[in-house]
Amino acid sequence: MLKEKKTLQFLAIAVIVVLAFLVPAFIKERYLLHVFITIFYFVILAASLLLIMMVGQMSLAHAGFVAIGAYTAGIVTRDLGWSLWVAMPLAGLTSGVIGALVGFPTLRLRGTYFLLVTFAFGSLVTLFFGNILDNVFGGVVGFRNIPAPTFELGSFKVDFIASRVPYYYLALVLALITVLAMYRLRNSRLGVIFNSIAQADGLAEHCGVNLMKYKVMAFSIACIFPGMAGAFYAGYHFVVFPADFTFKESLTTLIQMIVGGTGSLAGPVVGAAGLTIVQELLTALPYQKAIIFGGILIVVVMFLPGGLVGVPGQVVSIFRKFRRPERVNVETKPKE
Amino acid sequence: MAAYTQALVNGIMLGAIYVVVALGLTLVFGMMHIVNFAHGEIYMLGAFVLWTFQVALGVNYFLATIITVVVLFILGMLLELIFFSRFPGRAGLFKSLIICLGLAAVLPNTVSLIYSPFSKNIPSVFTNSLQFAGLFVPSERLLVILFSVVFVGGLFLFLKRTRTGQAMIAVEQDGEAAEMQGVSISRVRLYCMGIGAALAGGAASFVAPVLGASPWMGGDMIMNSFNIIIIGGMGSLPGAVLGGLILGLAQSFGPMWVSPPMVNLLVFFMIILILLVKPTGLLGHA
Repeated sequence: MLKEKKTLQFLAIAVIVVLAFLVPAFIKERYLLHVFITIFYFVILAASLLLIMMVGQMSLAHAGFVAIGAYTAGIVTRDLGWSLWVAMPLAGLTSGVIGALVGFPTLRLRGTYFLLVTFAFGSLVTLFFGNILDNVFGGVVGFRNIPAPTFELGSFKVDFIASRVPYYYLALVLALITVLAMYRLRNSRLGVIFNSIAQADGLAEHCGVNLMKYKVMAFSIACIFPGMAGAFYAGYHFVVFPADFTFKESLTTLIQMIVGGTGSLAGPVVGAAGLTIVQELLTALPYQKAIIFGGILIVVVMFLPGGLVGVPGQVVSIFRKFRRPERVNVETKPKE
Repeated sequence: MAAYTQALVNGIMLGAIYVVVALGLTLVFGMMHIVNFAHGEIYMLGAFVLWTFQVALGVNYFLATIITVVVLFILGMLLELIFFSRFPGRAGLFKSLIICLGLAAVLPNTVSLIYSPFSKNIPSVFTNSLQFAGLFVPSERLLVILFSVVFVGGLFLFLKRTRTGQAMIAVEQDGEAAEMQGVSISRVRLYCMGIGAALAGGAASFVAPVLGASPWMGGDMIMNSFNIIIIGGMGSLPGAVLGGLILGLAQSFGPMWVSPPMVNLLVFFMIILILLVKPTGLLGHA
């Protein structure tokens, strides 16, 4: 039964991935491709945010780390003239290292303190890029003229300016790498340790888990991915503003993750896809958009504990409760 | 010299407002352990309730302030009844926090749809300035300071001298033990949310005639309030007073030497330093 379910799951995921790779063959419109790219961008953010949740913490600085990655990539590609393919891992690394530096003093604190410090840090990053060293970071008017990425392999050349298709595949691959990395991490020994910290940190410590080490590790790894997403953002938009990475963006990511469901990796992916589509439908109505987002968040927290992913299970369990109460009794009878 | 006096008056006024708002936040955190991200938006609502009564309906300023405080007290209790009372215990804290974040997205945008996204002016009762020793001090700012002192004093008297206040302190120190002595936790939580919101509403109605009312004023305030209660110690009432005055003075004296964003950067580094040396804040306990 369990094995069948797993095979089915695997097949479903494979079909979705194959379909995702085939999308540009059918959809040519630039705007629709942009929507897909935005979905992949938010999948990277929401899925990596789940890793911080795995150690029982919550961060409101994710957009700040995107900013760190975006500005790093901007400086590396524009001012040093290096390729985006070098800049991307470098941006991830910078973001991860800064994540570790922030995490080290603050992860000692209880969950609430950490949340507030990440909130303050996220705002600080925006302030920093908007107001400090204007001749390096461009100030509030933004970091401009970031070159488009180039890709050449022998005679095979990709033109990133003519169409959005190369960006589509780049974003898709980045999102897949993120989800795959998170999946491997969740099912590894490290994932078990992270989970033990979230479940009962005191007990985990008594079993010899170095809490600080693993919490900082989880936070730092989770910050690598928004850094890389930031590098992608810089290469995609050619200009980055400090206002692109405010608390609002961190909150959007958090809402996507929670609305999708925090129980599995499918949650952030579904949440990011669903809410990005809602967001794009409501772009012309900024105030209503924020109200609907906040409203969805409140409704999900109050009535759907498993998030959107948990809805089928919830429906099934309600169905069972009403339809076949006697069968439940038979199953729970102790064996003789 | 005049510049320093001006900065001092402004700093104390700003600090006084911060103290009143942060007291509400730290009260809710200390007793209910909820990080109320919507507290800044409740403060913003206070300013708009004041505007509705004073400007739209033409009620006297002092009466409008009292109405605002009462309305916000009821609103705080409603928030507890509708949302937070559904998620009791440690497991519910996360959900309460998420609901606060949702409210923080919903409230300012709803207000900007109903009123307007732009700042509204609220006429001040006192437009004159007091003059002593060649220095001008606007009396509206003195009024803000006076009101805040009355409010903070009233809160401390309430907590120390009344049975309800003592019950609230008992819950803050040990909820289970308080419950065993017959304190109703759900009632204390109700009062706590009400008082927290009323404090925010009071602060908003003091400061709105000076700074105006804008749907986006909650965002800055919540950031400052969090900074204050981290500096002073989360859940510590004297800590909120100390932290509020420190931040208010820092933000009014700081721009004399460095740019305003730089002041916020320095405040953040100060917070990191305080957390490294004393993770519970200046006046907080574990």
